[in-house]
Amino acid sequence: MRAALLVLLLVVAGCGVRPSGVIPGLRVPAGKPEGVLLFLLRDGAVVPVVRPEGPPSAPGQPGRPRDPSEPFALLAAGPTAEEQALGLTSEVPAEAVPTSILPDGEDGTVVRLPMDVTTLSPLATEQLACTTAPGRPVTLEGEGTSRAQVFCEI
Amino acid sequence: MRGSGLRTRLLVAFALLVAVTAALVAGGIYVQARDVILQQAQDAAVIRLTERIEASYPVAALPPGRAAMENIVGALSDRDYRAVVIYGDQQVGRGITPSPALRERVRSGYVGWQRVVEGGEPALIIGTGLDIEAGNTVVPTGLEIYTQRSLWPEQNSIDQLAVRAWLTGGLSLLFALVLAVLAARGVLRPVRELRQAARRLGEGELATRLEVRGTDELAGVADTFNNTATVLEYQVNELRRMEADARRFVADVSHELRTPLAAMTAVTDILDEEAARLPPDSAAAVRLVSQETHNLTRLVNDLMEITRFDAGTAALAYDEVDVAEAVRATLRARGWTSSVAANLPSVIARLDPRRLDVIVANLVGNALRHGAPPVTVTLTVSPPEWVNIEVTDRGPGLDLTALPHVFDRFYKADTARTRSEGSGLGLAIAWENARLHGGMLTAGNAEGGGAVFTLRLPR
Repeated sequence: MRAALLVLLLVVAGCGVRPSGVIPGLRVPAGKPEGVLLFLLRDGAVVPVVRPEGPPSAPGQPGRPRDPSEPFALLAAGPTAEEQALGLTSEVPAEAVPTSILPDGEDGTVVRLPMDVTTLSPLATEQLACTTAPGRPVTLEGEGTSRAQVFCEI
Repeated sequence: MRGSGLRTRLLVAFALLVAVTAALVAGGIYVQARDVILQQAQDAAVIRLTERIEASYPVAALPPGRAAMENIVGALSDRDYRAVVIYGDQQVGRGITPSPALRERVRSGYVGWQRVVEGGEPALIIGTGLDIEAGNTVVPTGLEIYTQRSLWPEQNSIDQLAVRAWLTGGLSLLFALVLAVLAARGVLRPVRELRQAARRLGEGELATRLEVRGTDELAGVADTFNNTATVLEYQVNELRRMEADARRFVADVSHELRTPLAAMTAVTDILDEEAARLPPDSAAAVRLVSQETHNLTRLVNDLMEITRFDAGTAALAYDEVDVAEAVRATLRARGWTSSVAANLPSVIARLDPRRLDVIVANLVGNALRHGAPPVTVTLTVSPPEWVNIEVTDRGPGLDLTALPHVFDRFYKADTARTRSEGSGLGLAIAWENARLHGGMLTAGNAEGGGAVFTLRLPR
């Protein structure tokens, strides 16, 4: 009787928790970056980078208001030593600090750079577009040249 | 035999019904319960993961330093959960191996989970990524976060479910079998009673009746049986009464005939004496009347003998006799000693000598009249209580169609012989006499031709 019960249990165990395929859920959670968001390169792909902010200018006060050109200044400065150690690079030249960033139409943006924008590599263009506005059309203009409808593909 | 067939059919039917139903119900519930249990465990794990990830917002630095990754692993690990965080080539945390398919889904921006079996142990791996809000869209950070917990507790719950389901099914089966036996008995008992009553009715107990219980079909059958038996009993009693009346009538008629016959016999006896002095025609007429009167008297006497047998008033007058001597006396009295070959060893038996004389005289007389010589009478003894007397002849023997009817009353084998000397009751009376002794009289054909009549009497 006990042997029969054991056999039954084994058979039953085979019907128990079975491995499954990947069960999909919702989108992954998204959070606000607490710092400056810019985009560098790793292995030929654009990756986001967040530079932590400094302490607030005065205790009790929230952080100083964002300077829209700050990400570009940091981007033009290139990756830090730690980031380089992790394999991050940048193809944005040091002089690519925009002189103006203006909205263009409904959701576009025009970035004016003090350089010839056609000399920018495709990856550099994408870095700049992502740093400006991911997912929206960006127009780069500079010294008589322009590149229109550049998208950040992340 | 038929009863066990019906009971077995009922048992099998009930058992199958319960087994199939229980299997379907238990199986269905088991599957659903298992899915619910697993779903609850999975949902709880996913919610736990996403809540704790959200608690680590906002994203302070990217790429996350090793310290930040270890913080995340620490926040996600506890007694039941392991955690691993992967960023690029870096991995913090150990003990989890997400499948390529799971990593693919996480990297595509969706939470995913998967049940695996590692070393015989069922486990659940949940994976998520982390996106950054940028403008009005989100950008993936490239972080992959995985947690894993064992599903042993769920496995145990499910196993317990299964055991309970089996137990319940087994109990239900037992219960169904008990019900089946009870139902079978409820049907089989009336059937058995009906069978017994029918058998008793067939054996002649016409007063057999069934007890009618309830109002179902079996009670209806019992009721019909009772009505049929009542009618049958009445009819048979009527027939018996009519037969008894007929026999009594024959006895009465025979009795009434004796008186006039006695007078007629007296007259014809006188006429017989005078017959020699009459003219030849008259003499022939007188002898004819005399002969027929004697025949009629013998017939009436035989009829009276038969009616005594039928009424049960025939009595045996037992005497210790030497059977051989009695047979010889019979042959001598009728002058047959020289015509019959007798083989008669001395045997003592207790029987009615008058009736024995009647039987032997009839058998030998038939053999001499209707058979052909040599006629033999053989007396033997077979296993200690039986005396056999065998009368054989070398005549044409008995016709096979006549053989079953040879002891019937008034049966004449050859219908052309309508006017034989006998009354037609001789063999019937001999047969009744044998039966009265508790013996029997049988007829057959001998192997070499000729008829054989065998009388068996108990000593």
